[in-house]
Amino acid sequence: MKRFFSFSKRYVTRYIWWYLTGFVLVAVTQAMTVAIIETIKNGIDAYGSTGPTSAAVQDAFQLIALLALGLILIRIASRLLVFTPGRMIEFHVRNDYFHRLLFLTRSFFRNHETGDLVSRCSNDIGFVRAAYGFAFLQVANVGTAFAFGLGAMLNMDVAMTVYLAIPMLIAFAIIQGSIQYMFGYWRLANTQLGDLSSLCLASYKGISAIQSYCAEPAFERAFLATNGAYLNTNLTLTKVRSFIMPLVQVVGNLAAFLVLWVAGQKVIASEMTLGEVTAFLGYISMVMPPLLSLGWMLNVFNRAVPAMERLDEILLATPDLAPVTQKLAKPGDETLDIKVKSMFMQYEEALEPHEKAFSLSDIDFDLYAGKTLGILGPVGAGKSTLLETLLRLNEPNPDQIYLQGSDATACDLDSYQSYFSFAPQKAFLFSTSLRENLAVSVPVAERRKPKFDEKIMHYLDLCGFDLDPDVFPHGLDTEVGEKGIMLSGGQRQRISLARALLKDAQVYVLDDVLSAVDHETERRIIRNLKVFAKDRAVVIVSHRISAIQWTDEILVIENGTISDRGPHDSLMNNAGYYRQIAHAQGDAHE
Amino acid sequence: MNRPHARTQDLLRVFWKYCRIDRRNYYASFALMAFTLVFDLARPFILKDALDEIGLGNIDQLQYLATIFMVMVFLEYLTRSGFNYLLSIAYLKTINRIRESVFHHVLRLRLAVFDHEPIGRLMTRTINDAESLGETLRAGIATIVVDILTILGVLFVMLRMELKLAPVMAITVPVVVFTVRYCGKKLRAKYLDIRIALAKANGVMAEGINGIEVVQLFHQQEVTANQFETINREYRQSTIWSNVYDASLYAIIDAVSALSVALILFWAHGEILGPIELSVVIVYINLVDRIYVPIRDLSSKFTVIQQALAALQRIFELLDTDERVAQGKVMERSSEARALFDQVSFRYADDAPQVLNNVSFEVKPGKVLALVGKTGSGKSTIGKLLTRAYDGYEGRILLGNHELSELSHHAIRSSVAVVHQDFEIFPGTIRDNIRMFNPEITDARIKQAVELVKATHMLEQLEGGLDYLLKGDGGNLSIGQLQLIVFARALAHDTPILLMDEATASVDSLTEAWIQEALQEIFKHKTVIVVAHRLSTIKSADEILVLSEGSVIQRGTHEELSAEPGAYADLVTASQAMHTDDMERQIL
Repeated sequence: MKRFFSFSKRYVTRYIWWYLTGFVLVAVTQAMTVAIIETIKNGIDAYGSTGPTSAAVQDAFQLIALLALGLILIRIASRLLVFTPGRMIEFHVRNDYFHRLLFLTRSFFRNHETGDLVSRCSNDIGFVRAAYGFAFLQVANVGTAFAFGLGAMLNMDVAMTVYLAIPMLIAFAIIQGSIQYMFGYWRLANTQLGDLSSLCLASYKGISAIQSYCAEPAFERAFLATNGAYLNTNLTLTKVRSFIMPLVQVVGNLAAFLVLWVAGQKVIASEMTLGEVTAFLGYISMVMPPLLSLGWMLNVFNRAVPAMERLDEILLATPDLAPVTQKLAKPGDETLDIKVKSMFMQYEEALEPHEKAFSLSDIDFDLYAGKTLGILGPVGAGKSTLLETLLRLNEPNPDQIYLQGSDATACDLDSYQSYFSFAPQKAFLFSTSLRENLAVSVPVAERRKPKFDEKIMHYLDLCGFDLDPDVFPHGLDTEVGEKGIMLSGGQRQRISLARALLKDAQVYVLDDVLSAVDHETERRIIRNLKVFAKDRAVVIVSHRISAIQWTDEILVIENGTISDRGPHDSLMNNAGYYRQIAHAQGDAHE
Repeated sequence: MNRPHARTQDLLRVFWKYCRIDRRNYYASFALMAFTLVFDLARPFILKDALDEIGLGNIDQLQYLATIFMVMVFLEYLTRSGFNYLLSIAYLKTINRIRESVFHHVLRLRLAVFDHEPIGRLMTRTINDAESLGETLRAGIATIVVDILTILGVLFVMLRMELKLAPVMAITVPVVVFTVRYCGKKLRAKYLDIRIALAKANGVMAEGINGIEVVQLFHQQEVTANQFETINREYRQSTIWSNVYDASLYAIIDAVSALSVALILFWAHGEILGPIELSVVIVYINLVDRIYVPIRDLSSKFTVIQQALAALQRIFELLDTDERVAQGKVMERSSEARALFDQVSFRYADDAPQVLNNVSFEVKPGKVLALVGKTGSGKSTIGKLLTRAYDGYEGRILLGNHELSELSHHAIRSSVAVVHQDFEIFPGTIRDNIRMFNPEITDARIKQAVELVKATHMLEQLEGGLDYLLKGDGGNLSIGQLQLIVFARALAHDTPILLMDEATASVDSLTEAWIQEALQEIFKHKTVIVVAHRLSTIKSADEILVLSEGSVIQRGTHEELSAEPGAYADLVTASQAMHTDDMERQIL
């Protein structure tokens, strides 16, 4: 409940007047409904006592018509006044959610899957919206319908009202019980449907293995079993839905029966009028629906609170950063000076169940304009982690990385990162045009400059990307598709590299960016990189000796630490991983 | 969606084929529904009589009628519940069957279909479309008949009871129908906008998260957030408008029902039609709501039915795709494990470029043939023809002594197994992944295969050994480990010929050494055609075919080819590392 209040305080407060006005109008609506029922009662009584031609009947007709027309506007207004803020809140939560996500650090994304994060933003927000829209309206509806409806009934006949209250309470209990019961099965059905989806996905992905090993029958058996279990859950749900839920209507009719039984006798005894009987029937249909929806409403709140918790995990997440105490010079104002001193990094949990908890330790190096640094090591040695920590995608520990003499953790993250440009191992492209993908690394003002396309073309050429009009008839306007699907792996890598080089930075960090290009292209790119790196700092990671042997210093990383370092020639003199790899890859020379 | 829409009758006819098995349930539920209506519509008459008895002061008769009323209520409950239950069981089973036949069908589609059909779409057909069909059947079709009959029944009761009040209905019902149609149309349009905006927003969000490091490093957070906010605003506008139409629909129908009461009172006003019994007026007032609410709901139910038909059409379209390559009659595989291509040419479509051009080669039993060439050289196509993912080549392809087209799929598959470069791993134990869920393959054979690929040590490190549970994407093992499992799979099955697309994923040298060792073991036991990327693999082949633009430009052993100047020698000298080829997976 605390969560609910804290969430509401952040989002509901600014719409408080919408809600209050809406609630007042809901009350007015209910009051008018009561007025209509009362008028009908009077009309019927007048009809019964003085005949259909009496002026009282006429008056009733006019009044009902007036009330009905007025009701249209007020009811629409009341619904909109309550639903609109629900939608506005949804809008704000969605924006805040995504905005916050974009500023979170690597450690957060390591623990959360994309699918889950996206689904929170549609499903969980859906529950929250339902609470702030539908459920708020129902609260107002139920409250006023009870107050007015029961009030009017009690006013007419206390005993009669008490009789009627009993079946209503039974109906409420039935609904509540069924919802509780069905809830467990709903969850089960969801899990089973999830299982069915995973099985289906795995089978379709692995279709060629299935066909090639004639395993279709085995997979069908598995599908049949899961599908059957899902069917059984649904059959149980159907039983409740078919036999228990409709009991509510029976109970509702029981109320009408009571009216006939009890009220009928009273009418005969002249203790009650026929108009009042009609009114009772009217009030039953006024109070019953909100009463029944009360169960659903409670359910909405029950689901909204855990949803809020899941959303708050992101909405209230703060990038885990130390306070900014040092001011960085603008990149380029001073000569570049980066010192990494006995850096270590420890993950508390293993990334994969069978792996050991991973750590990085005793990393030292420095960078300055014109220095190129190569990094080599086996898969999982910590190369990418090293880069990500240098880039502060992982937050480093204090007193380990110094940029321009300032401790990295004490600098503003944006200013710090503006010194760097990065081409990640997995070349990520957005589903837009080539130009937009490349321009991402450049300030908006520069993108509008007249010769910008030429600049892009220059860097594409530098990265060995041939924008052949036969292959790319739309040139830079070519749409690359989701995750760059329209391009080959090698093309994606080169686009990602060109994007990184386009940024006007001090340090260029290139993580295994030549793995998917052929050797001729690799040589061409490295030739260009050598020129590019003359007055810049470049860090380049690779599995290939050929991609890094030209750098000023090479770090060999094994098991999270530097096992050897130096330029290519000196490393070749040491018996170790580097020479071993060089020989293995040198086989190709023959 | 500009495919021609199948005719509704045709769809329903095919659908009925799936329903037939449960037809007793369907028939019984419809019979019960008729009773439900009778009991339901009897109540207003009883109510009227009861009110009349009140007027007459006849308590005994009143109580008798009240009891009858309650009996009717109870009978209606029983028949309605029975009707719902039988119908639900029937359609749940029908849906289940449809889903199973979709799965069955997809598993047997030829591989070529998977080259152009996204897996996501096939998934949607199998799971989501069947699911939404079920939901719509439950919410729509099951009750729409009841609703229509109820509306007609209530109208009948009203007119039967008092014809003079008919004009009230003649005025109000059209108003209701008009409102429902107008708002319904607007609502549908808005719902579509909402769905589109939501899908777009989810897309932007997923992309932002997947590319988070690019977004952060290039400082695009605000730009991306603004992009999201713009779509989000469209979404918000559509939802608010949908609320307006929705609220109007409800408010107007409610008001019309109050107005009807007013009109009834006005009409009952004796001067126009002469007096109407008071009890009739009361029953009429009671019945008014029972007619408008179903009319209001009909509109959304028709939408639901359209959705169900659309889902049905998508499902049946998939079931209709008979994309299977014709198979021959020879059921038994050849005893001789050899493959021969004789002057084979091929293009994927009549207007597509030629991807293979007079390719000839023979792989003798126990030999290893390596295919080398750049992306697009046609080396993957050779495998696709050999497994009959595609048909329509010129020339001859022999497996053993038979032309491919004479062999049944079973004969081909029991001769040729395929190992793809992206590992096909299934959620389940390592044992099941090696034996492909085939219980006939014994643990002894599995262990033998594991030993051959030198993976025994690796298995021992994993908790449970063969019982170790793999995630669906193999995410809990390393690439090297997955590769060995896939190799063990190939060795555990007794298919004599192995078609391999060597993985190009970048692995470290140690893993590389493992894989090479296992590979050499496979070469000893099988006849292999391998699309090779690694020099060490290529070197150990008995024959190497160098392909370029669909033609064989060089052939021979590594020693022979290295010695002669040409594409192969260039390739070898150019490759200063493990990878001799563009690493990307071929798309054709």
